[in-house]
Amino acid sequence: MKASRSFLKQIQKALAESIDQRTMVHLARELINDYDLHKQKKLPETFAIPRSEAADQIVTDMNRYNLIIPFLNIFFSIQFKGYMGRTYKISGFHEILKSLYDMGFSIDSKNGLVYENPTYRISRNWGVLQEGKDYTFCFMWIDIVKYSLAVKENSKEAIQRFYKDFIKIIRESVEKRNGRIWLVEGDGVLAAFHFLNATQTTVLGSIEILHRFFDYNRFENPLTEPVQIRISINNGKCEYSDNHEDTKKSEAVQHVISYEKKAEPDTIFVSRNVVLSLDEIVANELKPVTTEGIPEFYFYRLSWEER
Amino acid sequence: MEIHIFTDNDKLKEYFREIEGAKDFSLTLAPVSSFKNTVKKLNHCEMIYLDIDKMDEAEIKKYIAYMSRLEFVRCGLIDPSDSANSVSHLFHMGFSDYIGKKELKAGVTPQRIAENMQFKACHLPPVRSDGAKLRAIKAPNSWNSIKEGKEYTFSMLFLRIDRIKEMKKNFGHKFIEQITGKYLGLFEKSINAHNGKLWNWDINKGVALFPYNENCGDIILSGYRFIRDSILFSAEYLHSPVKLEFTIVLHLGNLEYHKRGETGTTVSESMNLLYHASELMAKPGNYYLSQNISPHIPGEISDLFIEDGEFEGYSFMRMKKINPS
Repeated sequence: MKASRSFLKQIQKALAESIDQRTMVHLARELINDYDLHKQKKLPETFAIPRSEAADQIVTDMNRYNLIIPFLNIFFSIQFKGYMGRTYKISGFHEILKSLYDMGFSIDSKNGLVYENPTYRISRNWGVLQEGKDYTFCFMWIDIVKYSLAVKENSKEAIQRFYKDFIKIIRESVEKRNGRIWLVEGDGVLAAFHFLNATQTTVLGSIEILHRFFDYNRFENPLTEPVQIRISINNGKCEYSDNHEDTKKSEAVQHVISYEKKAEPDTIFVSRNVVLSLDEIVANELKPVTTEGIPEFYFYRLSWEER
Repeated sequence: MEIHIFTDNDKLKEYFREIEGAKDFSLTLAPVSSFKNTVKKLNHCEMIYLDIDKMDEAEIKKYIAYMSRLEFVRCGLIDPSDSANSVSHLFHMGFSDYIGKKELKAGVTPQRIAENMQFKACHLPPVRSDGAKLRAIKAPNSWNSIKEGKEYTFSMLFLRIDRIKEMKKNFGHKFIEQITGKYLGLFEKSINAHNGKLWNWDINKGVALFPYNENCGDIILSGYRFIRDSILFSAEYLHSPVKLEFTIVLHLGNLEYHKRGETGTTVSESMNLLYHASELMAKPGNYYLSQNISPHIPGEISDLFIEDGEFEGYSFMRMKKINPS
């Protein structure tokens, strides 16, 4: 994304007014390891560079390398999380935000991360994640129980209709929570969540999927038998890649896929790590898989009073 | 079941001999001239047959159009001369039966009537607690046509956010104000989607009215989803720290309509029942349907509702508890 001159000017001004030159360079080095301001300015190292000029050079360079949004994420983090033990107040923050909204971006109010506004654009990397960088994601894996049997026992038309609905239900439930569908492999679907309260939105998204399939089986299912699904959820670090195969090889993804095998049909299986980061209201909906000792997994199922 | 035959031919009764003798049926014969006046008063799933013999085409057409608009009875035509042009068209228009020359000669059997009943579902009419049947007054589709002070049949929905005292104690008065205010917005949005109106609301509870029509099964469905998806509403929409629990009671009955805020003088046996059932019978966190509305439960979810006893002469169904501990 190439930004407009006026937007770059806003960032440059905010940088110069909020942090010193040394900190600016440190932030730039988070993205470009060997970033050298003097070299970029073609000046000897002993030469003093005014703060506003330093800010201008850094912003120009970040824009040239298409790193302006990742740089903003790092810049904003000094206000939301702090930097080297100190928190900063960014001058002109709201003006920058306004420009970002106009450009089709939103900001995660919890940690200050900028991402594309799903109303305008839905891209695999939320418009901001960089190839090869490590990020923490919450993953959801959805799989249909005995799908191959359903394929054998139903007409091609019925299977096609069902499959379209299956993907639609998942896509709607995931994308309205700013998640992304990363992989569709037969009857298995991998969704990733990164922004906002990622673990919480993943679990709530999975509950919606399970509830919608409950209705789907009763009202719309064109197949001869009700469809059962299994969902597993796990979070972890993963190197972001545009390549599906690389994504699948990552440990966190491998884990979430293997957890699904442990789940009962029509059940959501959630790893303990995820549960620990949930708000109480959502955590209370989950039951431990084992009652002895510390449970490794929790589950959610839509069950009804028996009589 | 009552069967009304409108004919000017006294001999027609002979073909219904088997029905006359059957214990589940009562047969009434009346002249065609009394058709409209009598039919207007029927609304309890009675079966009505009109003998179209000796009528001209224009007259038949007029009667068919009139009968196709009758919602609370089942209709059939008796056509001894096989003069009807398109029998299948009749069924498309909501008719339950057509008796031509051949069928008439064979005689109408109780089995045929039973099959008619299965062919076209007819919703049970509202009843009063004393067993008297209420006349179902279909409300106009547009609220603009609903007149102040006139009686209509409404689906009446009572909704209460439960555990309000406990929440007030734990999270404070301001929290309750915020959460109920936000919830009311969500509730009103959902009511409007079903052409309903919020009739009254007081802190954490209120009543919504929906003009009675063939879509009242959708209101039942909506209530079921409201309770089932409570965790999603509570956590994502209301940003509540606790899952909200609701009590819903749905009833079908007559009410003299008055605008919100001008309901002080409203006297309605149905509304009384709704309030009494909500306050005295309903257990928190449950969803109840009175016997008047329960026949409208969509078949796809009927197994989720169970009989739950009687209250003030009405039987009630309750939705099964979700994820019981």
